[in-house]
Amino acid sequence: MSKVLGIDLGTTNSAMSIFENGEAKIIANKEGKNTTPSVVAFTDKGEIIVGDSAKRQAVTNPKKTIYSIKRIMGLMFDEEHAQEAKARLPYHIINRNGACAIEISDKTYTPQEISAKILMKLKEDAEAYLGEEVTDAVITVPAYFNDAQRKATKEAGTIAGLNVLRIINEPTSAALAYGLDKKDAEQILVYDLGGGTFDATVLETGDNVVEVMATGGDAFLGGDDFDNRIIDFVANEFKSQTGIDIKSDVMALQRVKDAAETAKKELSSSTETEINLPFITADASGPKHLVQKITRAKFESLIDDLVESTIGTLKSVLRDANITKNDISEIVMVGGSTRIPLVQEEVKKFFGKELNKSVNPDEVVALGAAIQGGVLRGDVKDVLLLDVTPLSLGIETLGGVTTKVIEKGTTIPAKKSQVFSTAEDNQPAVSIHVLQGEREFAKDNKSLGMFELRDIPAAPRGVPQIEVTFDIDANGILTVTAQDKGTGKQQEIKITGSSGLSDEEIEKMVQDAEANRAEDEKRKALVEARNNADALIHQTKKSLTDLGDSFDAGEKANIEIAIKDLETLLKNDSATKEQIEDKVRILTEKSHKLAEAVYAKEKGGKKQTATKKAEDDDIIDAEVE
Amino acid sequence: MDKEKQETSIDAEIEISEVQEHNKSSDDELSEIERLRAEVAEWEDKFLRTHASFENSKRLLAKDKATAVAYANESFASDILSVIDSLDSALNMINVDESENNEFMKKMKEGLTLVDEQLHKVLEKHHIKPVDCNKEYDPNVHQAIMQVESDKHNSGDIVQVLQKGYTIKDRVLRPAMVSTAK
Repeated sequence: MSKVLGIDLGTTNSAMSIFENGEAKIIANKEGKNTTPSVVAFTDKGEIIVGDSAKRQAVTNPKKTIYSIKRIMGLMFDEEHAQEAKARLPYHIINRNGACAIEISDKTYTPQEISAKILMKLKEDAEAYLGEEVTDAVITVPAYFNDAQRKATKEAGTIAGLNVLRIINEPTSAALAYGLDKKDAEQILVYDLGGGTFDATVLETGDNVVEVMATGGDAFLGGDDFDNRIIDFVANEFKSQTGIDIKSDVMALQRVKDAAETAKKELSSSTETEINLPFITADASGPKHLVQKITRAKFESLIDDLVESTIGTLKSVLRDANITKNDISEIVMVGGSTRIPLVQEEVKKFFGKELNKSVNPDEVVALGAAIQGGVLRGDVKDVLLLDVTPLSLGIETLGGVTTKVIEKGTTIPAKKSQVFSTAEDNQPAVSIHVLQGEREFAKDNKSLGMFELRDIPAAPRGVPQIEVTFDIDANGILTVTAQDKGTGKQQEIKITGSSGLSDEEIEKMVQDAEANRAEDEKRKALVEARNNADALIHQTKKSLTDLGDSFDAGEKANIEIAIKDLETLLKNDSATKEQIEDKVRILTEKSHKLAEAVYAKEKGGKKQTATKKAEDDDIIDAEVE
Repeated sequence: MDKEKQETSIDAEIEISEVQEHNKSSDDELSEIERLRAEVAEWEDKFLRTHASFENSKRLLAKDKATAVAYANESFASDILSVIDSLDSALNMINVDESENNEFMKKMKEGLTLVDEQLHKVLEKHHIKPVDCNKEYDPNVHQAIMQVESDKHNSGDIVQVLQKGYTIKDRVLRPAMVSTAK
């Protein structure tokens, strides 16, 4: 079954998204961009181009480049808004049987046919990316669209070859993207400040339905206006410093425009930025450079009144909905301009609540449309909601350290195994201490249980292979099994309620681990140094015993002194990692002759029992694997 | 004799009711088996669909990753353009006539031109190229920001390049800003 395409068909820009494996995901267009300008152009050569390329040639082809077609979708020619649009738009809008139509050369097109061209491009680009056909779609419209406008939008979809499953409201779509449709009997405010328009909408949830209670806004207020305030400021400063009017120089103005937009974006994350445009222009006295610092405070003073006016709109929309600002339980931010800190601060201050702004504000409407598509398709209820382990699971290993076997955030059911071994020679049993948490040391983590695997045959340390398996089933029940791969003997423990911690407790444990990370790592490094030293002492002593009298007595005495030194140091609890590593280095150096002798012996041995030894080597290699 | 018969008949009744019970539980078993068969088929279907969906996701993820890697430099390239613009502006402003005796300025211009060439070589190495403006107007790479009168050009042709454009691989990084003839 094909996927449903969620489409945000905007006045200036459009975006598309699909619902995949339980998640909504934006699809980039053929040009690699997440948004496509809602512009359709008919070139002199008879081509029809859509998107960025159509926008780029607009100036050379004003009568046949159709933009903002959304402003007249579904409107009758005589309607006030239609006449308003006609006055502002450079292309030819005519009256065809009472409705609006576009006249291009000697052909007429309905707004639906124009919008269909945009939808067709989106459909094609989506199909190219997905590698499969797309036939179904959900398309969003403004909350204030009437029946005729909605019908026209649906028709546009049909003309484009799409089966429009539903037309949904833009603010509702945004609420869906945050999962707010699941709320019951609550009021939500959607604050949509885009590139060119501002819309505020009050929604009410309940019975799995989202209703629009009231909507209002300013059709000509957006990010472009914020850019212009910066441009004006910069131009005025430059003029007072140099007497030159930048705005009259097309090229210079373009550079200033780009720099202003970049500065605006930077001020969302920095408190200060600098516009640096060397060689911006020249006069009789030579080249001129434009360097202008802008603080966030200055920027805010430049746009203060515009943001203020949006708060005013909020007040009147709340009045229309017959509720107070305290009745609003959730606020959703939509549109790129909501990234501006002042905008967020003022809205938050007005409502006295946290804002929903984690979803990309340019994409949130398209994402919601895809989610709606998923719901209609039944994908949402079919999706298995799988849990994840909230905290890592592991066992205690040498030195009181925690060795993780299953990482936190792993989707369950899950099964993971790791092979461990003994710490001492002839160790007859291993103790499996199951731990939950992110800290490096066992004592800092939560103990879930402990059991022993006994009757391990006598063997040097590090030789037995104990496979420890962590198996979490779909219900979150953890079974830890330890099996001696040599004997096949195994023991296990079942732990229920291992994820019975509250969200707060889990959060606290994760934060604790972060806070203590540096300290924990230091201590762990020390433990590892100790373990390595231990292993080296053990190995060296073993080699000395193996070689016996065939090894030089003088060298042996030297080595034994170094071993004694290291052992004494290790007995001291406050030995530092550096001290231990130092003594380990000395012992290693002193043992060079010993190592040489060991290899020589093995080599000699090899010559005599070549075939057998080689076979043994193979087996050992495999086990180590 | 009667007692025997009674016993037999009771046994028979018990047998019959046992048989009936057996049949009933057989029926129950049969319908249970049917139900289980249907459930198994459902799970099998779900499993296969999930697996297929997983395969599709892998394919798309691989595609996304390849694209991300191929265009990893896009954001950096975009930012460096304004630096290139500044350098271009500087070069344009150094108008040194060959006849002028300003050796220092000549050398500066020469040097900066070499820097410019060096910069463009680095860009090209990373598949960033200037947009060709010596051809017909192409809205895919040229952005017309104004129309001017010109007797030397055909209508719609590029008259002047106001800001250079660049492409990265097969994407437009920034279109060239041009004026076209009315």
